[in-house]
Amino acid sequence: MINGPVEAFLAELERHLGRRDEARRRAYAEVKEHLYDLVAESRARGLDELAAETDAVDRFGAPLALARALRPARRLRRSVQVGGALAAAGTCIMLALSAFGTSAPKSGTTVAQPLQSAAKRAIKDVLKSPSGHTAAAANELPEWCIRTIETLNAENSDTQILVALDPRTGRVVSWGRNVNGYAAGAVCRVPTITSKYIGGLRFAAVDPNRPFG
Amino acid sequence: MLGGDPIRGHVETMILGALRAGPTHGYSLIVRLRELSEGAFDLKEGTVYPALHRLERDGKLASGWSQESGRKRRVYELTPAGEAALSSERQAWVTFSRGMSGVLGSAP
Repeated sequence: MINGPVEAFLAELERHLGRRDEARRRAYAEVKEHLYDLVAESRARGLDELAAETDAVDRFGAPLALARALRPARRLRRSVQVGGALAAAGTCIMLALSAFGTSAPKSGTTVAQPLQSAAKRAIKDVLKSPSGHTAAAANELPEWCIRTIETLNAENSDTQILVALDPRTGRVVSWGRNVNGYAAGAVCRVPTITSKYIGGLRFAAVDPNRPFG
Repeated sequence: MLGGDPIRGHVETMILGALRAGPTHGYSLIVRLRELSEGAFDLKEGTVYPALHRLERDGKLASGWSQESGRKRRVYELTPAGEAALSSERQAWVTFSRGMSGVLGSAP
């Protein structure tokens, strides 16, 4: 149960800001400490708890606006775009290695070098392509997927979209909306071979030979 | 007390200027700004924190956690790039205010 304006504010801020990287966790911690300082100052001036907390949160403004302003800036120069429309905010693209045609390694063995190299190459290709995505992905994401991504980014939502690409061909094999860390759809609990985290985007290449959860 | 448009665009310069007096955390920084401006500037936290983070991303400020009276606070300080930016902003302001004084003339 949330008690008081400060707790309600912090809950909203956490919801909009998220905690997925150190920068966001730090921003949240700073705001929290400052709020308590403000409340203490107001209480020392004679205000009651409710008035002190209300004043404190008023000074920070709306949690959503604050969260947007505090989110780390993208380090990528170019936003990841699909059909020219995908804004980077709140979107995570995972590159999943397709299980098509690959033979399963023995359990407990490390990932075969060609697969690991393909995974790294796929991530690099996405990062260095002019529009931030592989040409194959741009052509193959269905229209309704593109529209959904556009809508979510316009809302500045933290919902993540996971797009599974076959790094051998750059073609889309699946995509889903990230719900509580998992993609609804074919790609679930994808174990990661290698990943790259840049700004608010996470690119991960996944071993298709390990079972999906 | 000034607010709104006259302030907008100068917040980062104000923060750099206020940190000239030494490193401090967000809460104290706002108090310092209020005192240095003799009450003219009462910047809201929702304005100051994004500006602090922007300045740090731009390399003009550095920050670190500090323990004070059992509380953890993020303390900010000017970097050499911040000092240089402040110097540049101060010069620009001197030029601007001199020009405006000339245009507006002295008070009747």
